[in-house]
Amino acid sequence: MTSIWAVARHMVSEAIRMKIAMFFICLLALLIFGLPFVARGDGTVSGAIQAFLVYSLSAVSLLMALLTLFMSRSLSDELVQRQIFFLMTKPLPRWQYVLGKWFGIVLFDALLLLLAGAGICGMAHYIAVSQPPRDALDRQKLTDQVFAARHQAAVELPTKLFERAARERYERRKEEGYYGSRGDVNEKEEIAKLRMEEEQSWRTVNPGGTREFLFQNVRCDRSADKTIQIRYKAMATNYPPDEIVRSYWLIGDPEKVQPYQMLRRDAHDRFHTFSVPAGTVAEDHTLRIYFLNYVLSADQQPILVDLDHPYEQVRPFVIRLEPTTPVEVMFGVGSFEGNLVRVLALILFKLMFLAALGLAASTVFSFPVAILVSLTVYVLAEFRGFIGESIQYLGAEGLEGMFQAGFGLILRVILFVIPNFPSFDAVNTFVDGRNVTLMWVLQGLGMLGVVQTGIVLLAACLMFHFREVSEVSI
Amino acid sequence: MIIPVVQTVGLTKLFKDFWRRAKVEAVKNLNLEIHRGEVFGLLGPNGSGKSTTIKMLLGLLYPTRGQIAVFGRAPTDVATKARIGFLPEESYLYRFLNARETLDYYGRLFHLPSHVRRERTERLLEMVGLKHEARRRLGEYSKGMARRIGLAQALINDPDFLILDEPTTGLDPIGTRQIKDLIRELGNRGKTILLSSHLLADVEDVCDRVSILYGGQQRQGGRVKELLRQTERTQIIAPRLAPETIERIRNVIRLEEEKDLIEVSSPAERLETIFLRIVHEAQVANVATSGARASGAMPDFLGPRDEGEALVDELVRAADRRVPEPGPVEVAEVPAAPTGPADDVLESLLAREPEPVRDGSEAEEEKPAPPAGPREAIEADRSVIDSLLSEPDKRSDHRD
Repeated sequence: MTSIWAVARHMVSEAIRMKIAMFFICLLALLIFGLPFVARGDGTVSGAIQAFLVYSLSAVSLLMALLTLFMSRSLSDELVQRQIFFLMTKPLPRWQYVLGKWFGIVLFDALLLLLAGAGICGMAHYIAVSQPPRDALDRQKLTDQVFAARHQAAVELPTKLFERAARERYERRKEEGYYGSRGDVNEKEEIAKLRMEEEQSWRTVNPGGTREFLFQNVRCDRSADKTIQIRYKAMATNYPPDEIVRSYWLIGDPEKVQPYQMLRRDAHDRFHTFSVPAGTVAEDHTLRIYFLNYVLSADQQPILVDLDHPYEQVRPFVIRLEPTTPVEVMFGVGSFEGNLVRVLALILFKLMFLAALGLAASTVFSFPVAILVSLTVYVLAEFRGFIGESIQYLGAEGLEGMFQAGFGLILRVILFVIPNFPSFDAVNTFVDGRNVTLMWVLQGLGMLGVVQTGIVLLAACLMFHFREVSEVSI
Repeated sequence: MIIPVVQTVGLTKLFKDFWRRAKVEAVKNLNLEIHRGEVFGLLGPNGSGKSTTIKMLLGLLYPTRGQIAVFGRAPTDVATKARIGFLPEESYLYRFLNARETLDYYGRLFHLPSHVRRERTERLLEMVGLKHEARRRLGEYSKGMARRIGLAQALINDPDFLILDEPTTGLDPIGTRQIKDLIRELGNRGKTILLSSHLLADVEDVCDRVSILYGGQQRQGGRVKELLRQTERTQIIAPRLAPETIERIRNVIRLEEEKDLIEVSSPAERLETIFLRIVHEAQVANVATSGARASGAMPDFLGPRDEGEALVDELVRAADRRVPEPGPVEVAEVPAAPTGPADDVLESLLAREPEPVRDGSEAEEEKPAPPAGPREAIEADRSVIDSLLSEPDKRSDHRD
């Protein structure tokens, strides 16, 4: 451990004095402390802060990733400039040297992330105090959705119902001779298609229709002054001329709590979030929400006339609730600062992998080649989801026999080692004021920080162990 | 059984091209043995395989064939490396660190406690004459200064085995002299030293044994004084003589040996000596310099001191504490001998048979010879005269 710590300390000391590190640090500082004066968002203070958070955290993630790869050149530099001759003639096992380098880079990254995080947090609060909120809604959004860490409860889709209905329809069609003598009907695919139709149908609320959503385990503070947020996106399938979707919401189980009702006029095909009293959640932590596709008259009678435009006949629209989770309920569970720390932790796990990757490449290649390899893997990791899907498609359709099996196996191994960065990117979640869960962070630590980083570090140690550090290629 | 510090058997190294095809055989079937306390010289022109051999001894390169043992273990063994100090042919140091940080870093890699690191760092900086420049980044150092730090880092762990690859490259004559003195003293303190160089004078000055490589193979090896001995010639050194005396000597040799004198000349002062004297005078006058200053004494942590401590110290500090003796030391010492006027000595010489030069090599076969070449040469020359002087009967007979 002494040697690892010595190398790590030296790495940090080197990184602090690297010109390229200075450049990145200055760039980061410029972005963090300059963005608040240019980021405007949607014109509200909450929008400006959210824009600042998105840009600054994305910049931190990208610049730190590049800086990490550049710092890992330290190993190839020491090979080229032959400081390695001094190091490898000391009682320093090679694996400890690689590990020390990695630890030093990660330590430096952590230090920078900490400073960047403090800067971002400070500047976000600075925007909040230096600019007055545009209106009451802006002020409430600032408290409830920006400087918040909200747990997100998604509605449970009745998937079993979809399955059963799809199967029944399939059997019925079969009995009715719908498929005729077609021998190419794949039962599994057909049922999956019918299941999708059932789900779409469930999401669709016809004029005058109602959809009920039940949320369980909504463990929020039910105090009178507390609120919960409801987030949804509605699409009118027959496009409304004013692009407005009108809806009526009844929130809270009338048998358990005093329900809260509201009429809404929201832009078509966009996410909307609104707050309702937390008292609408029942004591058993359940929340029932009714979505009605019609408007009510002043005496609570359903009519098809817009209240704001009483003389204008409103056409009935079919409303479809999107996307996967049609309605979400969110409530505060943590602090903005704690959430920021967890976002930064996920970024750090990504950097841990990149540090290992850069060092592994440096054990084999000289700087330009090593950085090229590392950047390629970094880009692959950023598009890992898309690439994985493409390869699955290739495996299913494009390749045959042994070649398919062998190639598929190789690709699967490569894909296992290459992390899926977007799945551990919590910036948007954080900016939306949603809680970055500890479980997510632990998954990131386990998968990115331990398994994938460990595999790459092991490879780096092995490659360096067998390498002649003074190798001459004629 | 005493395990040699270094033992190689059939050591061979092939360098390959990108396609792994063997291209150059840098070292061929090399058998070496270096024993404890020896100062061993690896000689050879550029490309003779010296550095490759050293790199294999250090585990920086892996042999293609053959075996290597350092302290009886594989060169890659961590425990072995803890006992080795290495100065590569160039000082590949971190330009962004200063001298103290550099030594501290390498000290950490040897797991030295912080107080030991601090103490050794200060002592070594003093020894290499860079204490006043310890806060400067190494990137600003001259080549010679970097070389001195390279040497200091090689000694931070008080190594049992010191490998010096071209140690005097880039050093001024003072530095070169100090390095040579240092090697001698370390040798005296029981350290084993492997010195690789193509500067033959350096090797001749300090090494006990040498191996001469060419084309990756050992061409010749053995004790330095045996390799250098010229048995077909005899050298006599005397105070300045009158031309008539020289003529008389010439005649005697002609008569007795039927040979002629090959050369009669006055010994010139060595340029190194003049240079060292000038620098010493400047240092005494406190002339400002940004380079290395006079080095301090060797730190005590570098092994125990032997009985010849005072003499060694005197030699090591010769360049700094007194004006160096001009020219060969023996010129000054001969008059001090209780032999009377020089002419008397010569008369005695003329009266006896020339004796073969006694170099004492037999006595030193038992243990590696610590003293350096010139010192031995001086002693050898003195021994010729002393042996002659110790025969008063013969001398008096001749006078009669």
